[in-house]
Amino acid sequence: MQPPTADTPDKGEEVIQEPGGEALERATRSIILKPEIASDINEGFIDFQFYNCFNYSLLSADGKSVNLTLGITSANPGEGKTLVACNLAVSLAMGYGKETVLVDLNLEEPRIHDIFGIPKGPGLVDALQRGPIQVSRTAIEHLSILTAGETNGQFKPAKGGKSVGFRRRGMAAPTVGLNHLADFGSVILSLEQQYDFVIVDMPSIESKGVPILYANHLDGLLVVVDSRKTRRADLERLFRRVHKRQVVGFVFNCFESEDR
Amino acid sequence: MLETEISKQQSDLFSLQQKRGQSINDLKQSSVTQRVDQDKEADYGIYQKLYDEMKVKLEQARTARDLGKRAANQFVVIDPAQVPAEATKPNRTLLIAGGFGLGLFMGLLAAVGAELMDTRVRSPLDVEVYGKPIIAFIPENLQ
Repeated sequence: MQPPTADTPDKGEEVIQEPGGEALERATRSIILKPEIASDINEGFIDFQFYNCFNYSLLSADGKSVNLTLGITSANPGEGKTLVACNLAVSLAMGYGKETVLVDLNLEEPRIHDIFGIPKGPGLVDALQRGPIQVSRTAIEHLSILTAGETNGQFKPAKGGKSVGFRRRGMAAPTVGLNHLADFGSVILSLEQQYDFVIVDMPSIESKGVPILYANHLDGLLVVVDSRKTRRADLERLFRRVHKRQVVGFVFNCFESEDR
Repeated sequence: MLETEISKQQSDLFSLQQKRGQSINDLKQSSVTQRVDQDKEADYGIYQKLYDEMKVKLEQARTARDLGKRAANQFVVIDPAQVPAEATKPNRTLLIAGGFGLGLFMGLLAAVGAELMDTRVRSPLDVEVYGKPIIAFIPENLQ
């Protein structure tokens, strides 16, 4: 996999050349690297003690490095998906030295732009509306971010969809529906052409903001388990919504070791 | 003459009527007196009966008192009762030990119950059933 190369600078932005044949070119989008580099990283969130925890060699059967598009999800909200997604992306970028992009699909309550200290938009919601994919580079080598984008009012709530977080703040729910599913697939495909690892910070499985079918465009799901909150019944409910083969592994968050 | 006779007869008649009235009054008075006498006799009988009963009771009490005095002189205290130096109840040691044991048992019971009812995913064994690897354990004390 070739690292993204800049081409045809336009307004301080760099457009990455899209490889592949004619059919692939139709499916993929152009990726624009934003001029600014995210350097104001929340060090309480992105920390060695977090990203040093991952043993992702377990994700491949032969223990060798693999190219992956992983969604990070959980059974319930607030179980540490964003913490895991951010630190896993950092770990992959630093550990493998390969191009990694972190995508914020948590459109109800996006946090990644805050963690990396970059503007919220333009981002994924713009790409879902068939715009270019605008990616922010970070001070961490090989790591890029696709933020959620300015979500307010750009997406109408899905029928029956609820957005607790935004309702609480008196804002419009930025729910994406199935009409954006193909566009999401196109965005992921485009990113896969340019990046070795695509890590998607998803909402919880219980969230109605993003249809679960979005997970079908990913190689697999990494399920975050909060040892203080997640119950066995929650996992059973999760596995009723996603197929067992879609889940590639677990991450235990807030794990209380018995030998302490 | 006749008139004189009539007058005399009338006088006798009047006198007889007076005597009759007097006799009737006497008879009435005699009847009342007799009734009062009968009542007094009845009261006397009741009081006499009460007096006899009290007399019997007094006799019985005197007899009982004399018997008690005589009996008291007949018994000898062989083993006089001893007043204990310390209270025999409550047994504080037993209560403390029992309370401690009961508390320990209840605590263990509560712990076992809480463990059985706790369905949180706290151990890798809880997800072993899904046959998927655990790629990270982020300790609680890091957050």
